[in-house]
Formats: sequence, structure tokens, C-alpha cells
Amino acid sequence: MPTIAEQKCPCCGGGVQFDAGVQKLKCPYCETEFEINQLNQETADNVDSINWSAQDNQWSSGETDGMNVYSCQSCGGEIIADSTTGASKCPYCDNPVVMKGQFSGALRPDLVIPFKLNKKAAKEALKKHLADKKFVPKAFLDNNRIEEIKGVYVPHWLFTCDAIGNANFKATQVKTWSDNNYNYKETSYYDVYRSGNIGFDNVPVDGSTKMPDDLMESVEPFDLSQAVDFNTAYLAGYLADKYDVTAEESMNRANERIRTSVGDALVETVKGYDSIDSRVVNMNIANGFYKYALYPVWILNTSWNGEKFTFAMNGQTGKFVGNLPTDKKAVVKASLLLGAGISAVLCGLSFLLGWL
Amino acid sequence: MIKKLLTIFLITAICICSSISVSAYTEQYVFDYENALSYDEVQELESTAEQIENEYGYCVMFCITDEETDENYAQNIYDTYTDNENGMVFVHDTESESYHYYVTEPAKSRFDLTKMQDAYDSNNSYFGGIEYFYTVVENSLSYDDTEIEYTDTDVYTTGDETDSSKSPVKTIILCIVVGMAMGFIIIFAIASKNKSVRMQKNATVYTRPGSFVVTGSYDNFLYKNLDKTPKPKQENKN
Repeated sequence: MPTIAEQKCPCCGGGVQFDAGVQKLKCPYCETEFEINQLNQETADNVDSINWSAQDNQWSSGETDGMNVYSCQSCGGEIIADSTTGASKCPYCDNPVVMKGQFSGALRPDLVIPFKLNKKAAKEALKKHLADKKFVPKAFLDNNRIEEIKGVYVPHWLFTCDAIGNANFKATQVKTWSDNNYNYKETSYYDVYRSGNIGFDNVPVDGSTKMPDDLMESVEPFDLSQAVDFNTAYLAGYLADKYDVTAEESMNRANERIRTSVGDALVETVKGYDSIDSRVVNMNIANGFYKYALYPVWILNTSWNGEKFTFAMNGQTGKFVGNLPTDKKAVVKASLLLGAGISAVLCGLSFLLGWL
Repeated sequence: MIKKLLTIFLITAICICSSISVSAYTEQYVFDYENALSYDEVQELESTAEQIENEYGYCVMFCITDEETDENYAQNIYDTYTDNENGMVFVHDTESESYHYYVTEPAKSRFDLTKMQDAYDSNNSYFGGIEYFYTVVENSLSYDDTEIEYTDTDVYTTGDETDSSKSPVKTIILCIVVGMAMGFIIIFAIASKNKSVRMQKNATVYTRPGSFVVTGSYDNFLYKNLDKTPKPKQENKN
């Protein structure tokens, strides 16, 4: 049976959690704070030796495919999680638990960015997000209730490389002049070539199929200078997944983004033309390597009119994103009103200018 | 909020500017390269010609020039200043005292060029002649090939007629269309901010600072095109 690790308070025995505010482990019961490595050392000597195991005939063949069964070391409750879950909470005693096997050996993340912002900050950010937007149905604002807020460490692959690119452009220069009788326009066409090298550090690609890629890319960027070496203690109190999209599968997305950036950088060097088009970019990668990291993201779910709305907040920088429903009738009404107003102003100006 | 208001103001200004340019292009019917007409006279004749185009759909231009010209010159003027497929240009070459015409194919049956030339010649002044010319044009378009008697009262238009030729309906419709389009664009731009989830286009934010080096480049000239268009001559500045 897979085993789990639980960070326990040596003072009262309660399950400790990582506190984003103080960047330490903290016991929610006696409020004792611990340094990350301090508690690891202390708990290593006091590992709970009680292990519960499920009976062999509890699950039929194939029934447990894609899921793992864990036993809570605090209350003995059975925790069922899918095969990618790396950290969760016991549904019976609410103690935070970390599935050790998910982050060991080759699966061990290189880096983790600890949460800097807590659940309260996520709620405030959602409030601000809703307040800023126009044409959101009033019923949505009045009736929607956050059904779930969860702090999730999302697995990301970080790609570092030197990109060697070359690009061909078709560019034009336009010259105009005139004499007494004619206007002249001379258009000169050029074949323009540029090649260059450019380095990229830690281009992230979402390594979890559970998280929508567009949502994860929308909360970028993360400040990787604040990342620390991976330690399971940071996961306490949050959800965490191990990757289920491999680095090889993620490379295409990283290449796509890098290729676009290389093209953008090369086209910036093409000067002195009136138009540039037909861009063809070829790219090679050198010195490429990747790392595995966990990024902190707050996920907020709500539903309205049978539709699910998911918001995400960067747990480090506070960047908040999430699509909102639009009141189409209000949009049409406002467009007509504004259009009528602008039309009236234009008519007035036309009258003043003598066009009417 | 200030940004939004500024955006609205700028778009409004752009639309007004574009309206001015459109207006200038479509209202040029009379070309006085010999300075034979006063500014007011040109404006009055322009109004008459514009009224004819609005009412009958025919663009009729008149040009007085002191250069030696031909039918090609007339066609160049017509093609440069309008894309109306129905219309004509009447050119009076004062240098050689000759007349040249260009009439679009679909409009050939609608104009009696002899009568129009006679009408222009029948008056001693340039302004009177051109005004009479336009009266003949209007009559021939309105009565569709019926015989027209020319009287002195046909020649001189009143100030009221000139004012009514400014086509306010057209301007109002243009204002409404532009206003509504702007209204929809602005509101949709605001509403689109409700969507904040999208894939990133590139990885530029992850570029290593100072790492970009251009290693090769060339700019090869391929070929060139030369476009030559007849130049519209300067308007009478009187």
C-alpha cells in the first residue's frame, strides 16, 4: 500500500500546515511555528509506526485502476486519491497529508515556489476581479457563491535552452515624388534574411492535464528566483499533483513559444522598410535541458446557470484571471445608447462645420 | 475611466477627419486651372454638380484649363476624382479654344454634348456658361431625352437651391452609421475584458537578458514597381 507523510506538531500532535504569511510550518491548533527543516528532523525521529492496510478483497480487479488508497496516520481513515495526487487532506480529520511516493526518486521536483499569498488574499482578489468588470450579469454577482477554494501546487516543466534561429522576410520600401503633371510611387521589394542566437530560461509548460493550459499560462509569469529546493513540507495544507504530461510531451508547446519569440526578436532587427511580411522562421535548439517544478496557484470554482466558472490566482504574485459571463442584452443596449450619443455629437459637429 | 474617455475622443476625432477627407474627394466636380472663377462661384457650381449626382446618380465634371489637352486628359481627370461609372467630363482648353469630352460608356446615351456645348458657349461669362451647362445637364437627365427650351430663368439658380444641395440626409446617415459602429466597437472592447484566460503567444518574458546576438544578415534587392498617376492641378485660390 502507498504510504503518506504527515507533518505533526511535536507540541500537541496536531497536523501542521505551511503558512504562506510567515513562510514556515505552523500548527493551526497551538500556533507553534517551525522552520521547514527543523520539523523534518524532529518528525524523522518520531515517525508514526502505525500503518493501516486495506483488505485484499475490498476492491475488485481493475476497480482501483487510476487511483491510490492511503491510510491516514492520524485517524486511520481511508484516503482515496487518483494516481497523480501528491498532497491532499484527510476527508475525516482534515489533516494535511503528502503522498510520499509521488515525489520521490525520478518524480521528485527540482524546485518549488512556496505560496506567498493565502486563501484570504485569493478571496479579496476575486472580489476585486468581479468589481472591475462591466456587463457581468447582476444575477451572477448577487447569487454566485464560491463553491471551492483550493491552493494547488501545479507541476510545470521548465525548459532552458539557447535558440538558434534564422528568418526570411519580404520587405518593401516606398518612395513618392511628383512633378508638374504626375505623382510617382516607387515600391522596391527586398529579400531580407536574419539569423541570431537567443537564450531562454525556464519557459514553463503545464505538466498536469487536470489544469487547463490556458488558465495556467494566463497566471504567468512566476518569479523563479524565489523558488527553493523541493521539500514536502511546503506541500502541507495544500493540494499537489505529480505531473501526468511528460517533459517530452510538453516540449512542443515550449518550442512553439520560443519559436515565436525568436521570430519577434529577429524581425525587430529589420529596419528601414515600410512593410515587412511573409515571415518564415527556422529554429534549432542547443544546450537544452528541463527541470521539474511545482508552481503555487489558487483555484476558485463557482457555478452559475449550470455552467462552471474557474478562476485562478498566481499564489506568488497575486495575478488573478478567470472568464466571466457577459450579459449580452446589456451589451447591445449599451452599444445602442453609446452609438446614439456619438451619432448626436457627430451630427452636432457636422452642423457646426456647415455640412448640414 | 480617463483612458476610456480619451479613446472615445480619439476615435471621434479620427472619424471626423476621415469624413472630411471623404467629403473633399467626392465633392470635386469643377476644376478651374485658369483661375477664371471666384471661390464662391466654384462652390456654387460644386453644389449644383453634387446635387445632380445625388439626385440622378451621374457625376458631371467641368474643367477649364490653359494647357493643350485631349480626350485622354479628360478621362484621366474623371478616373482620378470619381469611381462613379455614370458620368462625364467636359474640358474647355482655353489655349487652343477647343473642347474635349470623356463620357463613361453607360452614360453615353444620356448626354447631348452639342446642346451642352452650345449652352456653355451661349453665355459671355465662364460662370454663367458653366451654370447654364449644368442646367442643360440636369434638364436632360430629368426629362430623359425630351426637347428642352432654354430660357434665361433656367440659367440662374437661386441661393435657396444652392443650400438644399448639401445633402443633409446623407450626412446624418453617415453620422448615425459611424456613431453606431463606434458605439459597438467601444462596448465590445470593454465587454471583451471579461475574458482574461488565454494562451501566451510567446516566451519573450523568459528571454535571458542580453543573450540576443545577430549572427548573420543580408538585404537583397529584388525588383521595383513604379506607379504614375496624373496629378490633380491646384484649385483656384480666389
